[in-house]
Amino acid sequence: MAGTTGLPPPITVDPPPPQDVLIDWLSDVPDLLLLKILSFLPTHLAAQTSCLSRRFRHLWSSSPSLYFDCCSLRDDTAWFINMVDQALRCRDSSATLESFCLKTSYNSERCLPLYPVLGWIDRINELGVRHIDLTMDTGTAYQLFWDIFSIKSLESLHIKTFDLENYSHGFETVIACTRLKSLYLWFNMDSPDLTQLISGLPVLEYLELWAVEQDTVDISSPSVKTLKMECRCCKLIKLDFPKLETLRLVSHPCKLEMFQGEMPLVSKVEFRLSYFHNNMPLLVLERMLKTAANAKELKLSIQTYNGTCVETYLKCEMQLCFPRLECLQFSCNMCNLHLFQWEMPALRKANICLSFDKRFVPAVSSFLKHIANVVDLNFTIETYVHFENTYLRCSEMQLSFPRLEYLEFSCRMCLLELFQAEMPVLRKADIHLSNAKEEFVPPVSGFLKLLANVVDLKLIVKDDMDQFTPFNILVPYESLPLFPCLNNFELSTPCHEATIKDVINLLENAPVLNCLKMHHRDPCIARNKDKKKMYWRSKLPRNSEGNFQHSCFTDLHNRDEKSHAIKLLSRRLTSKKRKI
Amino acid sequence: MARSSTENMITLMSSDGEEFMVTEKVARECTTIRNMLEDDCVITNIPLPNVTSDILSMVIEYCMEHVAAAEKAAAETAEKGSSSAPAAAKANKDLEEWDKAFMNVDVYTLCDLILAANYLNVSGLLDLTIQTAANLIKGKSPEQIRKTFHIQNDLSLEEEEKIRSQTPWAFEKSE
Repeated sequence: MAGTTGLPPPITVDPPPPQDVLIDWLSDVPDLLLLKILSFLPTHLAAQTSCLSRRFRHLWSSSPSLYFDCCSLRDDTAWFINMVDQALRCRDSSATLESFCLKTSYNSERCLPLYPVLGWIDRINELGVRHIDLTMDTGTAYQLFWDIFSIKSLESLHIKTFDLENYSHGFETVIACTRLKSLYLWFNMDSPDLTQLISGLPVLEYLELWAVEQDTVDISSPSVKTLKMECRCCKLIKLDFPKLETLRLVSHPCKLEMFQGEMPLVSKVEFRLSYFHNNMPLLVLERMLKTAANAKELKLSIQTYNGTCVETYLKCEMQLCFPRLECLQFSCNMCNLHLFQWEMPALRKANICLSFDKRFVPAVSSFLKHIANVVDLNFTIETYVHFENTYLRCSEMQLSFPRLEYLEFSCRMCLLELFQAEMPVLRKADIHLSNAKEEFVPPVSGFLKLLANVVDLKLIVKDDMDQFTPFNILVPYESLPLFPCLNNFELSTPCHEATIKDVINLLENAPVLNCLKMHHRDPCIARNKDKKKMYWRSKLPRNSEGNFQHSCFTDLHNRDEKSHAIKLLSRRLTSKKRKI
Repeated sequence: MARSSTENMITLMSSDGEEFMVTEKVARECTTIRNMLEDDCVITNIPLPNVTSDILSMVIEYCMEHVAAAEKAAAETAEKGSSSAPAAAKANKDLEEWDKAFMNVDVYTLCDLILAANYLNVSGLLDLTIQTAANLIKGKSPEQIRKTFHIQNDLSLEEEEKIRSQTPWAFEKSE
């Protein structure tokens, strides 16, 4: 034994047996911990403990938190005001007040009268409060605002208003919150006020602004590291944040005309631009993306009105370089993607969700070439139904992903042929196909050939409402591709007879398959047509839970296990001979 | 996952003399032990005279589960560059479920766990147990609370009446 050291001697000797009612279980728990328990309770419940015993008599009045929620208390404003008044009056002034939370009700009389609330803010200021959380109407909040910002001890502030009326009062008070680190405002505030407020907080690190309704947002801070902002109809955004690391900007609807951002250190960026306005100059988007030039992680979502193509204004190419970008998440229903000329040499992971129609297949294909070096790709093609009907087999995306190891791919089955990609080092694939129909099956085996070298394969196939008869999903007309490395296979599809036969075939031909999982997925059509239902019925063997919904076979390396699995799977087939 | 042979094992000894071998990583979940290890890195045997063996085994179970969850998340991140958001959310949810099931204990054990978590300074477990205790108080009358926690009422009937009449706002609405 290298060393032994002792902790302080035990405070308690033998603990009492649980049955002994005479001994107080909480007697060993120090007051500090009891106070912690009380701090998790709404204040009126904490105050009720005063009649439990002598020890609890005044304990609650030093609880580190005060929590008043009008909604849970029958919406009686006068009574609520009295309660907060009394609770604050009874409070032990020598105890530290960590947090003060006040939630007023939206349903009752809209406004709390200002006067008592002002008194409460004064009182908690005296008590040295560190965290304030308020939910109230804008009118009251506005008038409290400058009193709150005169609390020197404040470290974090969370204000949520439930109406978004605008009150403009102008700045009169000096901001005294020199310790405020975290600020959350759901509050419609005048633009100059916001500018002045943010620049007056010297150590602010976390800033979250919601429902900003002003035309102009011009904010700057020398200390903020995280900024999250949701704008509505903002036209001009100017941000100056030299220390910013994380930025999330939501603009809904996006009517931006000007963007200026100064944030050299930002490494995580998210832009969500919904209802991207057709008149938004490309320059704005380009400027926004340029501020993210040093980012390691970029999330970009651009949604135009009804997915219409914005051809009119996207005239010039957007040539950008993201030298440090490792992770890109991009979702877009805009199609002119060949204009996005992005260089991303360090990219490892991409999550791409696109919707486009057939005219834009070459554009999408040219965009995907920029992400060719990823190791991990999640690609979803979302398309409108009309694309399917006008789909022509002539257009394909010829792609190559030389380093891709992980692929997650979702699309409608009819579009499968679009995606022609070389993936020589692919190890793991998750494939989700929807709207499977027999006529679209031929591309499946072509697609599976692209995945021939995978070690882990998960295949989820959802059938189409219009497909009435079961069909082979894995091997319709020709034999399955060989899977020489396939170790784990998971299949989720209607497991009818043809599917089971395919899987048995696979079991016999995949040399290193070790684990097989199958889930039966009830087809859409079988739910109401009784007659058809029997063709679609799950033919999986009964599992340990006594149903036929899923099966799992492991240790298939073992020859006996494998033949046992084949035997089990064949048991419920009408003919044991395979007919393919 | 194979445990690397170089990992230090530490013996924790409960008040009733039972020994528990844990990896250093698990032991470090307890801030009190971590501080001791940082002060003197050659300690391998730590007596914990404030914690009984059944409570200590529960604390260790909690620490092991949380270390394993953190390791799994880290491994996923290392393997795939960065972990996917839904997978991380699911892992969090699983861990929450586990915590919830773990808190399915009698009040007596809960009080002991609060003390042990406080003594060993396991912040996650302390928050979990404190929250559970607070939930036990919610929605109960004072008499029910006394019964739940075996609190002895040393107040006379008159005193109790007096307290109630002094703080009517706390009692009126909720009864």
